[in-house]
Amino acid sequence: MSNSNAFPPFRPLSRREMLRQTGLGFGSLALAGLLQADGLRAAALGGEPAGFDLTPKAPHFRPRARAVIQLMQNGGPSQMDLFDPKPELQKRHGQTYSEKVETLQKGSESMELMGSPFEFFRAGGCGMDFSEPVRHISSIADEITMIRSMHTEHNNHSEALIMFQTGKIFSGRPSAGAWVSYALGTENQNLPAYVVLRDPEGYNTNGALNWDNGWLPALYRGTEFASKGAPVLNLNPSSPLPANSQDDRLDLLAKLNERHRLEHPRDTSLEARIRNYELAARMQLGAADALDLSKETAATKKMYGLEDPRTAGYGLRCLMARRLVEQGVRFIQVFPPLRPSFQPWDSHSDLKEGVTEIAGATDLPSAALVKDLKARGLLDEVIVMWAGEFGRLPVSQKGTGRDHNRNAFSLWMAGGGFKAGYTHGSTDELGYRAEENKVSVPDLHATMLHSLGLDHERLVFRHHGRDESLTDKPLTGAQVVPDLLS
Amino acid sequence: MLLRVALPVVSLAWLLGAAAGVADAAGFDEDVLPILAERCTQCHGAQVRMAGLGLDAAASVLKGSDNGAVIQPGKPDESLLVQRIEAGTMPPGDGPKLDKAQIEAVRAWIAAVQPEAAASAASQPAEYVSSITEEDRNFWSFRPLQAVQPPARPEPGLSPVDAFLLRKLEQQGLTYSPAASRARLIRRATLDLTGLPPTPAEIEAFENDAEPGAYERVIDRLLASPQFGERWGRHWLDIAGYVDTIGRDVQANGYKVGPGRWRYRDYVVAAFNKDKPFDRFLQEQLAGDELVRWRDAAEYDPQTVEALTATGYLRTVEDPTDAEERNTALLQYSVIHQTIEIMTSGITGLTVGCARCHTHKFDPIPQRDYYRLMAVLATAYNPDEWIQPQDRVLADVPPAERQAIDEHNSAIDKKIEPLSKQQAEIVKRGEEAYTDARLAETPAADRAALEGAVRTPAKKRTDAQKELAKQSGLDKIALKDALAALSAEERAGYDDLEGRIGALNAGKRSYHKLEALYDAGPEPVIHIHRRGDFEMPGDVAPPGGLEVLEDPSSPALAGASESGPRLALARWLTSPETRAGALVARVEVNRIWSHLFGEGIVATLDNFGKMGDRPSHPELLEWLAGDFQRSGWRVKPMIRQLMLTQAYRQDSTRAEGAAHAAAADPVEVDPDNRLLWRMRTRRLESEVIRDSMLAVSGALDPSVGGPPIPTRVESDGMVVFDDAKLGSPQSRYRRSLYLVARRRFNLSMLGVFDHPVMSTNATQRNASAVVLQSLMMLNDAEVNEQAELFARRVKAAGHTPADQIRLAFRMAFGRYPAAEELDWALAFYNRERDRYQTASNPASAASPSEAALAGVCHVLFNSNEFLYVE
Repeated sequence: MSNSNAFPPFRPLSRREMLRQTGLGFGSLALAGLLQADGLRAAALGGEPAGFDLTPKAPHFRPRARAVIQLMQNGGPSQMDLFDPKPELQKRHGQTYSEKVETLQKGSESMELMGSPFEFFRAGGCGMDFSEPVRHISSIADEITMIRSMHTEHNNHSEALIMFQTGKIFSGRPSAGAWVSYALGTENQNLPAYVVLRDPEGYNTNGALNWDNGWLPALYRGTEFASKGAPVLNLNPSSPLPANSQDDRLDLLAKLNERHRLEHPRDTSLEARIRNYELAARMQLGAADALDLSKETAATKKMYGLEDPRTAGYGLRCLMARRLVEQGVRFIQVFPPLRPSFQPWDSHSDLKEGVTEIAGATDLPSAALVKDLKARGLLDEVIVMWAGEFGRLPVSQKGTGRDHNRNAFSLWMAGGGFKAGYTHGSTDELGYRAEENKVSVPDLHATMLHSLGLDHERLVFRHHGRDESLTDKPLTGAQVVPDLLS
Repeated sequence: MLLRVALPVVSLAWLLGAAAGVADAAGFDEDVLPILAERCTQCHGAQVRMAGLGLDAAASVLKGSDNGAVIQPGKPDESLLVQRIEAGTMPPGDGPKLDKAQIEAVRAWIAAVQPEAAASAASQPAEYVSSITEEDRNFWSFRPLQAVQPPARPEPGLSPVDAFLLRKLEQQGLTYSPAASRARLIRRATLDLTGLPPTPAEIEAFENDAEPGAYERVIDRLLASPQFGERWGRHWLDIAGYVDTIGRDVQANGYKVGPGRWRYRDYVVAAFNKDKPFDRFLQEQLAGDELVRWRDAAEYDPQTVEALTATGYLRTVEDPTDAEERNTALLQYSVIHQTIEIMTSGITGLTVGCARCHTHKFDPIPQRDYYRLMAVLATAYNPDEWIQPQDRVLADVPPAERQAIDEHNSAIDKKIEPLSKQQAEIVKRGEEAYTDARLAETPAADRAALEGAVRTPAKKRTDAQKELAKQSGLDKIALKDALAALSAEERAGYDDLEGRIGALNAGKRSYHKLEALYDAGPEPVIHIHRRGDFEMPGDVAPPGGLEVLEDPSSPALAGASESGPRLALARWLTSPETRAGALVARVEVNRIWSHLFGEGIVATLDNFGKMGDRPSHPELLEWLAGDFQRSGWRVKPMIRQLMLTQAYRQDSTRAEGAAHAAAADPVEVDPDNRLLWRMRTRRLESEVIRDSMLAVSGALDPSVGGPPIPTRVESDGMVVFDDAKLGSPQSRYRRSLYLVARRRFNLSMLGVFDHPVMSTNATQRNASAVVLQSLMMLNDAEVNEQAELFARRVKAAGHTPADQIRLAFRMAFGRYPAAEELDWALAFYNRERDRYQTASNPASAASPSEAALAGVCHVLFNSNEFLYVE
């Protein structure tokens, strides 16, 4: 792999530095970066510049936001049942649709239009539309930007989700979180830059692919934080040791390693590995603190729904996300519960029951997070993104559900300079296709990066001889959507 | 898709001339071309065609750009070309624009163009004009191999490799470091050749071997060991992008293992062990199916099976078309794209993938070359007759026999089916009887709730009912319980059926599946995909190689009509006479070098193009590549030659400012050690770390080959062995090579140490030092288990704690501890033992002294010296 870094805040690597990296590894330099944070790096490296690391980096221009919390709504939330009311669809309920529709599950589709089983209402000073299952989200109408004109490139979960995370439908590319960590580093060296919070019972669609580093160095990959037990894998000994044993082991190890290091002067990777053992101990504290909810008031816990078994799991992850973002973590992904299925918004049948169940688990905590950030004065600097991978069709499936729709979906953003109380774009009268002010996934990525002070065309990484980027403008035509930002 | 007929250049020109008529008569070449050539053809010419537009010939102007027509015949005002130059948006930038007179000339020409001329041009393939220059062909890596002689040296018996290296060092006033100790050398050589550390007995034998040739004998022994193929086969499997799974491999669990994948892995291991010549190795992998006669053979000899197995190389990419909803043209082409990327990055060391969308920006690789390679693969990965990955299989028996076996077995299955049904009914009655009995035992107060739960179909149970059913064990009744609940008569009936089914099954015949690549369907016509989009077909791309490596005397695919295009390509890539063969030899010897010295002579192993690095020792690389070819592309002699050099045998620890034979301070002159004034320290790869722990603890199961060992992902994300599916408990101690190879969910122990994520292939391993590695080594249960086994082993072999610790150092590091190290370790040992003695609730079943020794062993595993090769 020959990687160079064309991102302006870093000095471009010389050939010699690149050789050092291929010989010694990126991570070693990454850790050298951590040493820098300790003020130890100069001694260890003789003042040589670091390559890839997680120290905070300057953005390209003045940012609106410093961090992102992505509330991933896997499965394909139904736009016409949540945020995009379609009176025409209600009126023509039961009639045959004349347009050809793209469906996924062949054989079960019908051409019969299906109105929403939910009542819609307007909320907030801005009068934004919501349905009954997302009543709590409606209470933050005046804080959010609702985008009704999203569209994507594949109508299968796996591909669409890969697209949503990485900008393309093919696996193997870095996720947006990895790009942001690469670009901006992180503000707290005792915690990972990019943290993933998922249902402790298992994974949603695509599992760890959602936080993959692709061909970016591995230190930009998302780190899973468990919301039960030890937050990080192997954070604590697999079986308990006698008191002082761990410290004594580390002490013997340090002596052996130091003796070995003296035989290999200037080998930064050996040095980095030595410091890692100290970092491990610091992370033990840092990560444990993120999980420690004893400092939260009963009112806060209640607000996130921690007392109700339906909302407790996802609510805990939302609250952890707030704690992590307060502590300087750059990018946080919150994944939904595994019920009614591991793609919980995937309502092919019994949509009314399915949406009620998953909204029942996520509606309150999602809204609570935005309110809590606002109350703490953090909403200006943190982007909250509530999104699924695609939307659903206006025609019915099995009489009670809807199949996938890549041509239109709705999502909302809050904070980080996104316009408050604003609805962007629209779909056709039945909600099948985004029509006005269409926003592609790469457009959304470009806009998110813009809010973070990053120019999506300049945030590049050389891979296999090509300057790759999250948005790949030459192929996708990605554009920042200025209307979304205030 | 339009099928286009390639016309000879002369008649094409004539046709265009005739059709274009007035246009040409009006004088594009005379009046317009000089203007465009001055301002436009730099970006829209023969060399570069931005947006697919060429303004260098009337035909290509008429043809338009990727986005459509740029002129409207007879209507200058409506012509994009005129609009853009008049608006001044073209040419872009601050440079001079076209002046009025020039624009007028362009307008006049457009006004005279007849509509038929434009229509005709749009449907004609453009005449292919080569953009490759002599300078391109003379780039260092594209040239034929240069004849070089090793420098003459006074030292007798000095190897040519050392002669090249020493010359460069001496030019800088440097020389080698002193030779490494024998203990250090044998550890280095054994890890490099087998991926395992040497045993104390092997170190002892080498240290005590005073006869000449002791080192050579060690190398020869290691090269002949079966572990050699496992170590070096793994290097190649990285290049091939080997995985065991088929289809999408993105979910944590529920992955699908291709039944024949592992045979390709074992083929690679065997090829290295028997030192299969590298040219033959490549030919088999690219075109094994064209090398042997297999379609109508009466039976297969081992060579036939081997050649077909080898094509598994072309089957490693993620092929998502296994599911109907993903069996689309876009994803089918993605399979071919990724295969081209694997082939070209691994074999030719070039970033050919860039030419998918446009002619390569830095290297002389026209977009046409990319699609010529696609055409080579498309006789097998045929977009017109796509085969889903699960069906793209051959057998180790000929097709006719395979069919006969399938028919034979399905006839037996038909006989078994009713018997199985009867069995299932009996089992169901047994389950009911068992459930009734269990319910009868249940206290009356709980009975109704449990009965309600278990009588409700599983899918309709509420969460509470699910929990109840699960707790009672009645949600999944074991077969033995169901059978035990049957009456004797029914039980006899079940056993009778079981016997009959077994007898029928015994009559089945079998064959092994091979996940191979082979031609399917009539040869498809491949078009260039404009902007990389298959829905925008451009000109036809006939099968071919890379033009810059072609000489008129040796077109890439000479002889393709007899052998098939893939074999022709493979032969071209491995011919000593071609530029292609020279590049392939350079890339491979450079890779061998990097595995032994830690860096390539060309540091960018996968980029020998203009943006890649230049060789640190160009003449040495030429000489090695030539030597590789001359000695029949044999890998083992090449490795042996490199390991016998003084360069390889020197020490790795020369301190700064220490006294040297040479005058200059190497750290000043060559801080990056590109000239090899000392050996490089290298962090071990993920597999070597794990395998070394198993070897040192004595747990290692050294069995070779076979189906992969399954793993699974726990709910916390940890990837562990799938104990329920292990053939034997021992298999968790197999070498890492044999664990199921997944795209990303590999054993956590491996993943954390930079085991590659196989999106396509891994042309170079990273060696990061991240904190998760420290946490893994410190706290992981498997590492602790190995430390305990290691401790038990040294305890059995040594009398006193000091002896045991000395032996532990020797096994882990290949050396005995220094006095202070032994003191430190013993002091720790005593404290640790005391802690275990006084601990109220010791976690370990081991004795305090064994637990203390395990603590020492655990620290050794964690130490840098264990994780690095010196």
